[in-house]
Amino acid sequence: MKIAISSKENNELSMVSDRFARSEYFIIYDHDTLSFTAVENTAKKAGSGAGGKAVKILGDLNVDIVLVPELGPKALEALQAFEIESYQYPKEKTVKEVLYLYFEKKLPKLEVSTSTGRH
Amino acid sequence: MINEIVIISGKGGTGKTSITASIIPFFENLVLADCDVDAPDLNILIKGEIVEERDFIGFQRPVIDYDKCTYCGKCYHSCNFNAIREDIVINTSACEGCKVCEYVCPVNAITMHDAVIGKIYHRKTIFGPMIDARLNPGEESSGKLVAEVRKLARDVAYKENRDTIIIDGSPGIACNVISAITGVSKAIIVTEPTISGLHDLKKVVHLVKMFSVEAKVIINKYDLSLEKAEEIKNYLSLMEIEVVLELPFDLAVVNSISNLQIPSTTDIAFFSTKEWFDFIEYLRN
Amino acid sequence: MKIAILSGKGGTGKTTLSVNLFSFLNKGTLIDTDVEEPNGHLFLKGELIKEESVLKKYPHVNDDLCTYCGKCGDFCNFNAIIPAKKKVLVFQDLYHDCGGCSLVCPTNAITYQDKEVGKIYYTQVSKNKLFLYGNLTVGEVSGVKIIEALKEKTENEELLIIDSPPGTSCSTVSAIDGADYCIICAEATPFGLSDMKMVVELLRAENQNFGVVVNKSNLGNDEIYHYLEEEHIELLEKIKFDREFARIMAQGELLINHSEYFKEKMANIARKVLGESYDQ
Repeated sequence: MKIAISSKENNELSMVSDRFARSEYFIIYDHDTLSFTAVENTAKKAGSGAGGKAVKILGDLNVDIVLVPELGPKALEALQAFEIESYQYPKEKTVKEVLYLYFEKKLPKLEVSTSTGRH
Repeated sequence: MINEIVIISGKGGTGKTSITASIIPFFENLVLADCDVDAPDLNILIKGEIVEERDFIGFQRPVIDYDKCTYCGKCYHSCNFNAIREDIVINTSACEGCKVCEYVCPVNAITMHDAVIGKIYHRKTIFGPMIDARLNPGEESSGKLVAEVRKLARDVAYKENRDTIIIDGSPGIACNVISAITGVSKAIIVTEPTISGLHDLKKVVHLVKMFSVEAKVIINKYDLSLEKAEEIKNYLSLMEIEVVLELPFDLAVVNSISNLQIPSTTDIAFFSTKEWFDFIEYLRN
Repeated sequence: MKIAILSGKGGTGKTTLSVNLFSFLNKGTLIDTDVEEPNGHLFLKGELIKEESVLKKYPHVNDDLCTYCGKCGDFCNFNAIIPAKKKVLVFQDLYHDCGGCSLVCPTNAITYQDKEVGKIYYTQVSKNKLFLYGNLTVGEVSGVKIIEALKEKTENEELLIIDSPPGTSCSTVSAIDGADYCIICAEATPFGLSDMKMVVELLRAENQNFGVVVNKSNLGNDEIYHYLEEEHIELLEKIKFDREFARIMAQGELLINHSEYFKEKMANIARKVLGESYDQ
């Protein structure tokens, strides 16, 4: 199982990002091998539609679960298409801390629903 | 946790920037972000020295290598934006950066290059660091540029241990505004008692609700139309949004701006009232 | 003759000037090209005679032909098409109409279908006066197609007034394209001057003839007049701010019907820009 966490820097001790779609990096935690990999989020450079692109990057890496601060309407829709679950973390924590919170089942699941109107 | 406060308005001209400037002197440990990239006015009132200046790269634009070009015209025919003329010259203002021309060129004479469409500035002011940006005329403001201004503001805040970021947002409701409001602690919407003001306020409220941002409203120049101000209050009450301040139209405010003074630093009575201080307290927490 | 009215920032009185100048004239057509926030129709009463859809295209993926190769997603610079595992996501509001995804698709699985991006409304204000405005559907990112449609429908009008969007973005460039003369609506405040300079830069880059109307001229300082003199830019008129004007506008009323001063100003501007023949 792979879990992606949006992150400010490229390691698991870094602080988590304030934004999902334009975060600097994603830290991918692989639960089968117990390892961490950092991936630069190229979606942050997008003029628009960053949410959809960020999800694609994770989808192509076969991520199963994503831990996020918030989700815009495009990201929500894209996560549904890729069948990736999302959970919301509190800010001002490290990547490792929110991962523990996830395993302790303390993170609320974000219901993936079709948004009523994009901006 | 950094306190990020954004001030936005639906339509322009409601007095948003004057109000943003008036809030600033009440905070000790600030970073300022001027996200109104089409009309970056904050640095007119709040002067600063440039610490750093960076090119802002928008989307990519095509460059033709005329040594390779055979003038077959495929690019001209394929461009949906009339951005390539029949004599195979690029019209950059019409170009949207889609790359179709690069794709269709049979001799690889076209390559996409990063286009600089503006600049981002990091300035040092008496109130703290300020980040603002200026777009070249004709260029589209984007969520990307605002996001970069905000990111730089956050980076500077962390580095210099500053606890508050005040963001002067853009008018309107497009993705530049969305980038200005995501992840903020508080949004203050400035409106005015006119037909257009209410019309545009409704759109901003819709946006703010979509992004679940805590928002309160300031009705500026409320005494220009008490009727319309009442209509606005009724609408906001229905939408469960609080009107946190009602500011009267005051020539003294306009005059202070003309003299390049922040209104709240002059002797204008309103800025010594309990109402104003309660508002500042709300922003601080 | 085509006259565009524009401003650097919002709130300088561009719409006020457009609707009042238009109402002063005895004939002509006005188009409100601020399709994100159209406001002109709030002041001009008339009979709605026609409503038209403005269409844009969006990509449609035929699932039977799609092999999920991902080429469309890799090509698209706007992240409008995102191939997922079992379906291809299309974000219609991000689609830029470039036709690229269909070009790169190896199985011809992508075709384009029409979608309404907004509407154009035609209002007969009086016998010789027509008013058109456009409205961008909520969620759409670009109103340029609607602006182009408004311009196209009024291509052959003898006298056209174009109320442009605020700012200097590509919507504004599209609105003023083909204008014979531009009127910049400005304020005499420091913010107003700074924003007006950006408009001047744009108009010079677009080789436009232009002049300036200074609104709320009794507020602010004289710096703007010095600037106009130094730059040899025509000052068309100065119009004072009056609280009474604000009250009248707040009700959706036209200033020329309530103020001789304002009407006189419109007459002066019309005379300077259009000549005697268009007076009321």
